[in-house]
Amino acid sequence: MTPITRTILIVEDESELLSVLSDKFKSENFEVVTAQDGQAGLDAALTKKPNIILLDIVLPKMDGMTMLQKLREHPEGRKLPVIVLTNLSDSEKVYEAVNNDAYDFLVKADWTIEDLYRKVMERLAPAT
Amino acid sequence: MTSQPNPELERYQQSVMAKLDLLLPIFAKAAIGDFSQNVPRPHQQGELTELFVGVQLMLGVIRSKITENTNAIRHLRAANRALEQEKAIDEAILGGIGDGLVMIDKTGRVTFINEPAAVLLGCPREQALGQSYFELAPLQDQAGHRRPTTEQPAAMALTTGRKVDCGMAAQLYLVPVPGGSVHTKSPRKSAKSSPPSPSSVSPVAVAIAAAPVIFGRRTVGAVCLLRDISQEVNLDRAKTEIISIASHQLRTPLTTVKWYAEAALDLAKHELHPDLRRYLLTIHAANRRMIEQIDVLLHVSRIEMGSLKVHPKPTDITAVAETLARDLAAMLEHKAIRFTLTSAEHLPRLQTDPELIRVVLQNLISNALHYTPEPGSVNIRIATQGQDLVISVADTGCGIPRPAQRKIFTKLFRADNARALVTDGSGLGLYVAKAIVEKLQGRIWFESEEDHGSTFYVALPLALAHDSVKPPKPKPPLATIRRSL
Repeated sequence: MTPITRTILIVEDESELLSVLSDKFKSENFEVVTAQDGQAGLDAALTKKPNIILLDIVLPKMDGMTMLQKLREHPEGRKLPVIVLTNLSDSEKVYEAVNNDAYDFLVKADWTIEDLYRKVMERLAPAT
Repeated sequence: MTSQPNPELERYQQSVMAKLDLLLPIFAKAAIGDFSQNVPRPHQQGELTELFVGVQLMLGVIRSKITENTNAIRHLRAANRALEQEKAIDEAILGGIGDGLVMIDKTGRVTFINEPAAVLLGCPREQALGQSYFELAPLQDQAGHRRPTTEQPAAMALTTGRKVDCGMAAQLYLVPVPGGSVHTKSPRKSAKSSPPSPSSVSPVAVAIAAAPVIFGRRTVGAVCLLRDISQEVNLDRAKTEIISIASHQLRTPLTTVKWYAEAALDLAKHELHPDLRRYLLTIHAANRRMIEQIDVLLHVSRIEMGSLKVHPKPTDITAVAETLARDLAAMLEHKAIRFTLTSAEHLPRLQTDPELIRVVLQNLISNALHYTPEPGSVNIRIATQGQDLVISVADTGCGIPRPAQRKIFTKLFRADNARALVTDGSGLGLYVAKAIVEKLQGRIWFESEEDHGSTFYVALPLALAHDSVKPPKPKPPLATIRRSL
């Protein structure tokens, strides 16, 4: 039985990071949708309806936090699992903004791609 | 019937009057405060002798009392002059110090204020005296929320009878009183963070130390030291911004190197030339070390600024350790170090900060791996012990020499044998680990013997348990990661 294809949206403005993450998830049979700014990310989230989103914070046009807030205002975006990825670990605002939400907040530099993949799988299939 | 003159009686009267006349000049002088005259001693004993002697004795007593009092007054005047001189010196000192100083009585009324404090409060000294200090110097936090009077340092010093010290970390701002004019070293400061105020001047960042004045056993007032720290706050903000920029800007390329090295290793698991594989592993390990160093620097700066924040959420300590161990194990390839992680089953999740736990464990495990020569072993164990969840990291490494043991958690300290073994250590890892563990209400300690390894323990109170026992979940052979000898 072929596994059901899942869609992941990766919102990341650094092309190199975006590319290596895309490769990883494609190799794991994900359908990968990418966006390099917050506005494009929000549009993709609402039109492509991914199963999960990896979201960077520092983004052009619209930052990740604003995108997350706007996404939560939409009925379809309210329950969408989001993993916040950033290299900012000092930002109180980020913690406050995401604290009310079911989320994972990961510092990119501290994680391997493999563990990031595990985290995504964990969120998609929560332990029963 | 008329009475007959009695010559004898008249003579007697005249003689008594003559004797009493002798006292008149003495009483006349005494009436104007001169007690120096003596009563003449009667030539012969008579009915007035006792009176004369009595008056003379009385004069003596008065004279000695006057001398005593005069001396006492002289002493008092001298003491008073000395006190006034001391007061003048004190006032010169209090007025001369750069910090603002306000003394209040137990009701909060100002009893003394020096010039710098008057300038800071924007109220002339003579006008401030007798006024309520709390009305003169209202405080707010960075977000512009007014701090209740009862939570002001001076009020706390009055109610608790203890010294209260609020430095930069307390983020207190003195709110300008409408009509007053607050002078500050940098008037533009904090304009960003403060709400519009009725006056044109913005709140001033202040450090406040308040100490109770205790007389006998009663707190009769308090002394408050106020310091304008706007410049320090500006510098601190600049420092924080630089750290934030550095962390973000440096971490992004470091993440790129990390993920590409990982992807390359993963892609060509069995096809890589052994040398190429070793090069990639070396890049991966060096990159990881840089990331760790940045993490440590960020945490040192947070600890020092008092801005280390705990963001608790249900945390599976074993999962945090496993993720870390998997990542760290990569640097052990081809090394004869046995690396294991053993975790007791059914451990509760703790309501703690997984990110901070990760930093602590990373420092302990990374140290163990770095300071353990081949062949050796590093064992992580996680289990409950009494009231705690205890994580231990045991190695067979170089150990900590006895004289270095008491300094091992000191910032920048590195033991000599550690220096010799690993040249690029920062001496910050254990300092950060200890500060974080204590912030998480835990304890950290170690057992070590030089050349026989070290075991570091971190105990976190089970009182932080988020849920009761976790449902048993079969795990791969006790989540053990091994690198063979």
